[in-house]
Amino acid sequence: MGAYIIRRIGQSIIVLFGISIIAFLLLYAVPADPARIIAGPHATPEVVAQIRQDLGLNLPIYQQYLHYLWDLVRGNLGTSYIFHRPVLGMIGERMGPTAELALGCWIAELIIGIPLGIYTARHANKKRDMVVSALALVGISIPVYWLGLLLLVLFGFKLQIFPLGGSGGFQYLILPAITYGITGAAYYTRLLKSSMLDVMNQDYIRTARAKGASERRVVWNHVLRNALIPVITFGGIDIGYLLAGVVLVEETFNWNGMGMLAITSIQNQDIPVIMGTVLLLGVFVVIFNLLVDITYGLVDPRIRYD
Amino acid sequence: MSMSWKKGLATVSSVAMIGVLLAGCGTSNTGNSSSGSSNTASTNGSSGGTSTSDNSKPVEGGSITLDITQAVPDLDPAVAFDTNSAEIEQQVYEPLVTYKGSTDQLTGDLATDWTVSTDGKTYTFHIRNGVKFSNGDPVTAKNFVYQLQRILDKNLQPKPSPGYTFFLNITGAQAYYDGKAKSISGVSTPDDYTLVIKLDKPQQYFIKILAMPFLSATDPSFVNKVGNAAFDTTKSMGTGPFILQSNSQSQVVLVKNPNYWQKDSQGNQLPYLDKVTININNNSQLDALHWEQGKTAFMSPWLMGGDGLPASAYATIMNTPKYKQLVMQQPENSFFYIGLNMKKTLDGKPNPLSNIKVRQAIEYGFDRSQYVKLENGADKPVNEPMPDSIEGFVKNLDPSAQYSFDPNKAKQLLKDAGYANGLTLDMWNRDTETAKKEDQAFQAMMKNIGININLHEVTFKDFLTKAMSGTAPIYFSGWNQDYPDASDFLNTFFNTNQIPENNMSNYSDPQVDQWLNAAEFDASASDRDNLYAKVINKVMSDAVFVPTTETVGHWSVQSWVHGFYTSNITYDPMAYIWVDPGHNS
Repeated sequence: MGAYIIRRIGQSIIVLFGISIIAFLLLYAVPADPARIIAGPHATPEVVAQIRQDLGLNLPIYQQYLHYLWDLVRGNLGTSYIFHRPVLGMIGERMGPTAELALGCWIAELIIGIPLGIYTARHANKKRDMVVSALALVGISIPVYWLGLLLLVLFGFKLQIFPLGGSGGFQYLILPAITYGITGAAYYTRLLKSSMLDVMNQDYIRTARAKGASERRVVWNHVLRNALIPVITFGGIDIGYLLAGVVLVEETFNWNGMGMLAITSIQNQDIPVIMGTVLLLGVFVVIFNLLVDITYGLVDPRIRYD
Repeated sequence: MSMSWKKGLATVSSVAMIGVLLAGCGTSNTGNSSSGSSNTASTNGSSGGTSTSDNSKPVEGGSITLDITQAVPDLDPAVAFDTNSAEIEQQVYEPLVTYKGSTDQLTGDLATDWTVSTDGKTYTFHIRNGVKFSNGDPVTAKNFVYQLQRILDKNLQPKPSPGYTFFLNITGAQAYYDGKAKSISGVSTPDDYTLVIKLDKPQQYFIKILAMPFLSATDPSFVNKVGNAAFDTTKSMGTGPFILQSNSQSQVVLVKNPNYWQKDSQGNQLPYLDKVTININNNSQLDALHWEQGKTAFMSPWLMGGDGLPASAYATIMNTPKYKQLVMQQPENSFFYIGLNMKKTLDGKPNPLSNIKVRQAIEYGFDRSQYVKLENGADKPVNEPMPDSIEGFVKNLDPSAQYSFDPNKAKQLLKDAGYANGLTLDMWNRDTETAKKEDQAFQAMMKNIGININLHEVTFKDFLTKAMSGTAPIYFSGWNQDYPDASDFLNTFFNTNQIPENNMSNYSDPQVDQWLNAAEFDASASDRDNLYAKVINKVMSDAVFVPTTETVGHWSVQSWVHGFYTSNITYDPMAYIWVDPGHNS
C-alpha cells in the first residue's frame, strides 16, 4: 500500500510537471505581446522593450520556463497584467466561493441522482424506469447556462424567491446547485442503477432473500452498500472536475469564483492569471484523482495494490 | 486615443482604450415617479443630453446599487484610460476644468477661472481656495505639477501613463519625459493658488485636454504613503464627491466625501447620496433583469458598455412601455467605419486598394441603410469621418465627397480599374455577434459588385495588433472621442505622422497634413472649421473611409432616481443624484 501511494504521488508529480508546461506554453499560445499589454497601446517602443527585459521575455524559452518553475516552487504565480496584484492572492480570494459552489453542486447531484438510481434499479425495465431514464437523458442534454437562466427568470425574477444571481449566503447557492444538480445527477443515476443491478444478481443477495430478509433490508443493507463503491469513486473524481468545471455555472449566476476569474482573464488577455487558474484547476483534478485512488483501497477491502 | 466597440463587445471595455465623450443632440422622454412626484426627462441646453428634472427638494442621504459589466482595472487618473475606470474615477477625482452639466460648455472645476495669453501659448489658472482632499489635506497648484510629472514619468508604476502624448506640447514636457530635465520648465506656480502652463505652440483645444481626467489633483504625501500600485487599484484618494471605500474583483463601494467643496444651487452640500455600491456583474442578462426588477438605479453606456442596453434585453426594454419611458437617448460621440488601406503593397503583394477606383467602387457598393437596420434601427447613419455633434462636421459635403448606393456605378469603376472579373480582398474585424452580422452584410454587398471578401474575425486585441500595424487591407473599426474636438478624429485618422497606429489606412497627403497641422498648432488659424471641412471633403473624395453609423447611447434610469442627466463627455452624474425615500439599496 505504502509503495503504491508513493508511486501514485510520483506519477502525479509528473502530471503536474506536464500541467506546468502547458500553463507556461499559454504564454506563447496567446497571440499578444505581454509587454505591450502591460505597457498599454500608447507606450513607446522603448518602454515596451524595457518591460520585456524586466519580465525576462528576451531570454531563451527554456530559461524562461526554469524561472517560471522556480517562481512556482516559491509559491509565486506572477502578477496580473491588468490589476497589478499577485495572481496567487487573486485566486486565493476566489477559491472559497468556488469550493462552496462545487460542494453545493455535488450535494445536489447526489440528492437528485442517488434516489433516482435506486428507483430505476428497483423498477428496471419497467415503464417507470424508462420515464426516469428519459428525463435523466433530458437533464444531461440541457445546457447549464440555458437551464440556469430559465430558473433565474422563474425563481429570481418572476417569483422573486431566490436572488437574481450573485454570491453570498446559502440562498444564493440554491439555484446554481439545482441547475448543476439536474444536469449532473444523471451520471450518478445511471452508474448506481447499473451497479445495483450487478449486485442484485450476486449470490449473497439471493442468499439474503432466501433467508427471508425483507426487500427493504436487502436493498439498503446488502445491495446499496456494495453498489455505492463505484459511486463513491466517481464522486471523488467528480469533485475535482467540479472545481474546474463550474465555470459555466459561475458565469450564468455571476458567482465570483475561479471560473469567472478565468473567463475575465481570458477576455482581458491577462496571461499570468490565465496561467495561474489553469495550473491550479489542473492541480485540483490531479489531487482528487490521487485521493480517490488511495481511498478506493481503504473503502473496498477487495482491492489489492501489487 | 480611443478605439471603440459595439454592443456585445462590452466585455473588453475595461482594457479597451477609451476616452471621454462629448455632448450631442438629445431627445426627450417622460417617466412617472412611483412616489407621485413627476420625473421628466427633458432636453437640456442646445447641445446637451437629456435629464430627469423635477421640482421637489433633493433628499439628502440614501444609497443606490448599480451593476457594471467588468472589474475596474485602474483608478490612478494618470493611468486609467477606459470607460469602466473613468466612471469611478470621475467620482473620486477632479481636474482643473470640466463641462457644465450635460452641455459641451467648459467651466472651472478645481480652477475657478483661467486666462489665455494673446499668442495662445500661456495658460494661467486660478486654483479654487479652500478645497481639500478627502483626507483633509489642502489642494494647491503644486498638486497639479506633481500629477503632470507623474503623467510624464515613463517609469511610472505599475505602468506609464497612456495619456502622456496629450501633454507633450507643454514647454519642457518632452525633455522631462526623456529624463533630460528634473522639472517641467513650462509649468510654474507663482503662488499656491496660481498655476501657469506654457506651450511650445498654440493649441486651441488644449483646455479640452485639461478637462480629461489625466491631470486631476493628486496628493503626493498620500501616494507616497500607499505606493503607486495600491493608489491605482484600492487606495485611491482625491477631491471628488465620493471616497473609494473598496475596489475588489466583485464590487466597488463609494461613500460620501464629507470634505467635498461643492454645493447645489440651494446651498445643499453635495453629493446627496451616502453610498453607491457597484456590483461587478459579468452577465449582462442579469444586469438587465436587476434593473427591470428595480434593484439597480440605472444602466448607462459607461456601466454596460456599447450603447448602454445589454443586447439580450434591448427588445424587451424598448418594446415594454413601462421600461421604455425610463430610457433616455443621446448620440454618443463615437462612430464606426470601414477603413480602406491605401498602401501600395501589403505583405509584399500589390494592394488593389491603392487604386482609388477600387475604393470608390466599395463606397458606391455600400448600402448604409442596411447597416442601420442591423442595429435595431438604434444607430444613426453617418457619411463622413466624424459624428455630427462635433464642431466642424460638414452639413453639405462636396459632390465628389458623397457616395450614394449605386451598384452599377461600382461595377463600372471596378471594370475601369482593371477588375472586370472581380477580385478578392481581406477584411479584419472582431469576433463579436454584432461584428459577424455586419461582416456578413458587407460581404453580401461586395459580392453584389464583384468583390469577394475574405473575412478574418479575431479577438479585439488581435484585431488591434493587426490593424494598428497598418497591414489590414480592409478593417472595421470605430472611435470614441478623447476630447470633444475635430482634431481628435481628423488629425488622428489622417495625419501622416499618425501612421500606422492611428492612421491605419496609411493615408498620406501633404495638402491634408498642412491643413491638419494649421488647425492643430496655429493661433492664427481662427477658422478651424473651414480647415477641417477641407480635410473631410478631401479624404472622402479619396475614398479612404466608408463611414457607417454613429452610436446612440441609452440611459435607463428608474423613476425614483432624480437629478440625473446624460452626457457624452462626462460620466454618470452621481454627485447630483438623489433618490426617493424607501428606495435605498
